[in-house]
Amino acid sequence: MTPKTDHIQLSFLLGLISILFLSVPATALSGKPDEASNGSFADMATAQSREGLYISATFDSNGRLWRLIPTRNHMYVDYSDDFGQNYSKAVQINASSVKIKALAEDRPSIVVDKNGRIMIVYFTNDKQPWTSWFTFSDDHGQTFSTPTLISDHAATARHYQDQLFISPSDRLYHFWYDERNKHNAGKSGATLYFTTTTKPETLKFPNQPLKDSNCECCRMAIDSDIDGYPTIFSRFLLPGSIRDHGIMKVSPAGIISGPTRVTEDLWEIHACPEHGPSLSISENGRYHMTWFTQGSVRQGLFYAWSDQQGAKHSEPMQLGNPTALPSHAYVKALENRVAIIWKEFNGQKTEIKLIQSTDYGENWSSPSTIAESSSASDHPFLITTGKTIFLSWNSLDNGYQLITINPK
Amino acid sequence: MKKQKLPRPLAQLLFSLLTCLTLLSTQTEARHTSLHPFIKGSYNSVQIELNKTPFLMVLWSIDCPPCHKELNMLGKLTKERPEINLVLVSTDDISLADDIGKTLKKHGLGGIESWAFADPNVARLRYEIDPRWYGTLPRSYFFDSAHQRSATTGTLEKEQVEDWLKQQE
Repeated sequence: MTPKTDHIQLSFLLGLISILFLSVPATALSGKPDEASNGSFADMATAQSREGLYISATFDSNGRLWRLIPTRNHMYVDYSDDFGQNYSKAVQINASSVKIKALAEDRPSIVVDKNGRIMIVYFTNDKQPWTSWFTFSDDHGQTFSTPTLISDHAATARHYQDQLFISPSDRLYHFWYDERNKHNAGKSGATLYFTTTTKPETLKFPNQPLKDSNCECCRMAIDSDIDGYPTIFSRFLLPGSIRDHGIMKVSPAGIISGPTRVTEDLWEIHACPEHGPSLSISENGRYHMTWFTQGSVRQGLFYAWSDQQGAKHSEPMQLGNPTALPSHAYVKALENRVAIIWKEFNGQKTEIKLIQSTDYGENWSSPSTIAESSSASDHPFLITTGKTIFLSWNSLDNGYQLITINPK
Repeated sequence: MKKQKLPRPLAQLLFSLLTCLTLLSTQTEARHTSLHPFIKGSYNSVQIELNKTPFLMVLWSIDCPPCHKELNMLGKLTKERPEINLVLVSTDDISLADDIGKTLKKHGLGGIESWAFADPNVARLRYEIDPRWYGTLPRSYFFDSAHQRSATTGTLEKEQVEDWLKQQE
């Protein structure tokens, strides 16, 4: 079947006009090139690439905001000492140009330990397809080590959803979904792998499998339990192609709790939901969880808490206006406070909604709108200095925003 | 940090240059791969083009493993049943035209009408196609000759498509 030529030409022309129109704000706002010297982010300017949207951010122990910025061919890091009012000169991480792969749901990751060591993992799809690279800085982000492959099967198996996690004792963990076991009999989905070290500078990353049958299209949520071990809330691929969520806790030796199924929504589907869950653990050990489902039992965006490490949880609370595509919720607990944000879209505008609790998730405020965009936008995240919670969100029209979440 | 403004004529010149480069690079890319840019209005354009014709629209992505399984099935099916009106829409950015093209070719779908999202505001494009679609892939729409459609999320089975083809006869 061949469409009529004139019709295609018209569509093509409209497409080009759209691309042209959108390319300028993408260049001007996402990376703020005018605030970075030496023409940094230049490779973001060549098209309407979405990569520049997916900025990951974290605070170090001194309250400095660090941003990890992907562009089409390079990764950059910059920082702000005044909560996003001004940013430092951006530092380019990879010297040679590579095809950076960054998606809202599968994004680069940055952590900073208590000594100020900055550690980064980012994803490429180049001569070496679909793999991730680790790099670190011991001089406050002035220079970074030569990027190193994490996977010891990188040449033959793709992997996804890489995330770094730094424990309270500064042990580094790196989790990812790996396809190396995918073709084994009876295996479906990807295998969760990890590597952990207290000496990342040695660049030794023994790969260890943790759990088969994970939904590779959904970002996993990781937080530190009160005992300091990373706890992972993620979408499992269960028998019958059910894509519900489960939880597990990991020590350097492997899984020490779980995997335990948490949600019973019965979402049977052979597809990529591309909606990962979120987890934040209160100082009192309560797990706060948000997730998305289109299961036969319930459909939409939900929150629940668990005082039994996910084995039993509160009655799921639906989030958002079901007619406005509520999605990509993120939860953050800080002392007795819990904040939840999510996206809603009405066909024209994306809004970030917020609800808050001051009693560990028992009672909640009414939703309020704390940010909006009429353009393409990233998933929203909540990050904290340990005293204050912030919204971290990037959009083409408004650029990167760091918005204080004041207690209700 | 203060922003330093460029003189207006120079800024206009740079803007024009950027415009030309953007147009040129995108045009070259799109022609190279025969991918049509899917933008606001494209969804209606496809229906107008296929007036009174049953067709199957499949939305997919190179990052979605179940989509590859479905593309493999569709590649085989289109060889067996070349009369099928299939429209493929990649939700990947059209700047990834080379990767999209390679995937289509790998599954024998290089000759099928194919589009790729060409607006970074993917939420708006998705909404125009279906205001109830959260973006889960693959997503398929079966259109009858009156263009009444039925939606399916998840990998299509060959039998589903064959049954639909039979209904359209």
